[in-house]
Amino acid sequence: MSFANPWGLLALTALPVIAVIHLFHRRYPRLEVSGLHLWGVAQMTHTPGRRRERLPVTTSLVLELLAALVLSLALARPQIDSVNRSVHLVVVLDGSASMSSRRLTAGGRVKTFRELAVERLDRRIRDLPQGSVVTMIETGRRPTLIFGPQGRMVEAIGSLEKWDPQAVGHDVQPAWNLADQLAGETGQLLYLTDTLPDPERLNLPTEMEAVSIGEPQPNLAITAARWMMSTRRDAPGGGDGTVHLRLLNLGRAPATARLTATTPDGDGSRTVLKRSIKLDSGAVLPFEAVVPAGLGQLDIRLDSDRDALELDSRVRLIEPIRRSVRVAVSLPAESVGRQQVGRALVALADWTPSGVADADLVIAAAGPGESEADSRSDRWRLVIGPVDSSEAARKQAVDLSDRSVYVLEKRHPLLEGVVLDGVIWGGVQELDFEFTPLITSGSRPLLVQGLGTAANRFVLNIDLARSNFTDTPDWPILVSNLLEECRDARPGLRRVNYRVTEDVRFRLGERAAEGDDLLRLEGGNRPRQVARGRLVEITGLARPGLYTVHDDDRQLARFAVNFQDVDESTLVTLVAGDRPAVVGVERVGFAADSPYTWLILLAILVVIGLALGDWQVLRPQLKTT
Amino acid sequence: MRSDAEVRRAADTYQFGLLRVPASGRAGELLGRGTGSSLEFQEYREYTPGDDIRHLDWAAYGRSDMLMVRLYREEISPRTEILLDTSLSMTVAPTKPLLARQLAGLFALLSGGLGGSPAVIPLTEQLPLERIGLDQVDRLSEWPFTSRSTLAELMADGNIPLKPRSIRIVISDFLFPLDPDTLVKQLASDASTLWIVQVLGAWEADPTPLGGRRLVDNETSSEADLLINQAAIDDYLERLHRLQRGLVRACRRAEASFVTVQAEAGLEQVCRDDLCAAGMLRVT
Repeated sequence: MSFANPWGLLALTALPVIAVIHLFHRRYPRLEVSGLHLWGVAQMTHTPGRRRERLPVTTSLVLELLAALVLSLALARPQIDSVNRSVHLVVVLDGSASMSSRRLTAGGRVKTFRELAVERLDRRIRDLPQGSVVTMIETGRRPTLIFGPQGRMVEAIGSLEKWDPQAVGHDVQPAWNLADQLAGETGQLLYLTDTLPDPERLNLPTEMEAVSIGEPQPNLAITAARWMMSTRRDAPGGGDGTVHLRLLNLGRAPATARLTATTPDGDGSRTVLKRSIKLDSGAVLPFEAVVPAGLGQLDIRLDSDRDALELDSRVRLIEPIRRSVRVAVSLPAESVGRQQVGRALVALADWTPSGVADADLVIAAAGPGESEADSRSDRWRLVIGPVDSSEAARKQAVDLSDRSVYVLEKRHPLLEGVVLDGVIWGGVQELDFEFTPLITSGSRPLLVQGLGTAANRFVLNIDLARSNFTDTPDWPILVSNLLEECRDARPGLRRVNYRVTEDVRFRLGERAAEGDDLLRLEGGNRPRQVARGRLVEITGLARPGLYTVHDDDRQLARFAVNFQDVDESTLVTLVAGDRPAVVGVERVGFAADSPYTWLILLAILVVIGLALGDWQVLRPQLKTT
Repeated sequence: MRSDAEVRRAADTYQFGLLRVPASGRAGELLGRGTGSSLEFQEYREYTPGDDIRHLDWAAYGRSDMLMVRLYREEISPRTEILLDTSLSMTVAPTKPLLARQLAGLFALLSGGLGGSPAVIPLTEQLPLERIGLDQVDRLSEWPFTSRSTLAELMADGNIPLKPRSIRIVISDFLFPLDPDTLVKQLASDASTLWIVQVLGAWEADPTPLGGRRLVDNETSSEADLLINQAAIDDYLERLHRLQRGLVRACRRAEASFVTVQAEAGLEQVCRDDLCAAGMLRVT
């Protein structure tokens, strides 16, 4: 821009004069309020700690300054070809893990799609007019504002260090909605991703431009990982463990990979397992390997030159903790019940026989005083009929045929998988205590949970000598469910290895659950606090890694979270492309044509308008004073 | 707050507006308004598919061939969490922080009197937020109201770890930008009961014309010059009432209670006229 009459700029000296006049202008008395936004007035920010008050930016001052500025510009006769237009660019960055994939090229420098997106964005921001502002949002389970709102464009690219796309598949619509809100009516919307959104499935805002920098890539992934310890009870305190993995070649060509498992050893690591694996295109390979007990932790990696995404080829597993249940069977020695309970328990894992006093689970015969036998609230008890073993009561007991209709409380975990097809249920008697029925036939309760005792007490209203229940698959299922429910009720983690976004729940002991202090969760991006209770629930873990839960300095739980998401690992469907905005938006700012005569005319009109506006602003104040 | 005679007197006069269970204990001290699974039998109704089969009355079925379901009152844990807004906006009138402290102390004493474990959580910028138990409740009388973080910001950032199944009481002026539906939904999540008490100064609730004033938001330090005449007051009241209507509507959806109290009225009048009318308190 140049000026035909630069002397006209001398009129700019009027600006400080106007400012000084306003500085000495009488101010309104201050009034402190709580919710300024409720008064519906434009706000001016007061810099905290400043001793001298800033010049009040009143409408009157603005109008006067503008009038002086426009007049001086008009006098200076500016020669303008075009006037810059400032822009508010709102960028939505795809936070999904596939953006961290490498673009594999033959011999060339390898870059991730994230890096390519940053380069693309850098060019885009450099092309913005001076004075433009930028806002950046990362998609995720919850959209995250990583820059702005309306930050300076020179700082925008530097802030992208915080962008570390690792999310599993998620809905991007909330991030788009947030961007739409922040852009208002004048901002430009840009969505940077690795594949263009499918218009059939996702409703991309019409003002949003979508740019995809993705390309189809081969990828190998570990889509499931499990570490199980031996269930042999004859290997006390030990027994080997088995690692189960599911390996997947998501590329269009066969791939050779190297599978390595290491365990931390002092400051370094020790290799436990090393295998070479060949995977055909699209092939799923279930992999199983025996590893010795006592390793504590395994870091598993799958390496291949046909693997574009590293995140899904790394798994960290923690050695499962044995949670053995102590079981006492106090049924009469030669009874049918004792034989059948023993037969079912033999097939089950992770339990140890114990005396009644120490047992977590007691399986006992019904009898006088049995219901008062237990006062421990954490003990489980299965009582097996006949409820009354007197001859008279047994005669009066009812036998239900295999065509009887059984009603099961399906929501109760004890009955998961129990169907009772073809069961003859013999020796059903009247019950004379308070209970909640779990299995019934007509109005007869067959399996009930007793009320009024501290222990979790279940009563089987049955005479096994007159029934075929123990000959059906339902019998071991019921005993197994009972054992597992008893195990789950004990303090500690049920599992130690999880997938991202999976909820983690564990129980605390009675003493640890007391108090109001919060627990501390370490791992992921930053420490978090967790509410204390008998059942501790941790949700929304989006970052893979090791996590620990602490009560002050005491570690209560340790678990691993791994990235496993087949959809996000599928990179062959990535497509590059641009989709321009369907509806253009007006840019913030103003524009004028070249001939300055029009500017002078416009300036005169503006000055008249501003003078009238100023008078309008001042008029109510003059009235009050 | 035990040293505050007004709070002590109110604690002797009133009790929580929730029904008591005949049996007492750590769990199940209070009864909620909904139907739940406590031991207190409420009423019968006919069985419909999907009902909890555990509540079927088998004895009645044997007698009448009618499937009836027993309905029980919902049990509420006596754990009480009192969220106290200690932001600067509460200091616009000196009576606001005084009443807010007194209310927090009163609710804590009433909950403690029932054998519960109340915790007052002053909402500050210092994280993690401190939980003040009954034994330290007197600290509230000296607690500074200097925070610049709003309740909405703290909730949105997940910085207020709330315990499930607790009675939750929120004391604030709610004079910050907020979406009533989102905020109340977050506050009511997993709570047995939610009460919201909005504390306003007299001039905030009913402003009078003052002429030209420079309004200074004492929380954000934002300023604006405004002629406070009847038109400006009408606009302000319209926005304030819209905010209150939004909170009332959101509370109704979340089965929560909302009440606005005026700080200058004093604790005694607020308890008698406002909190009792809202069902939060009742006379012993």
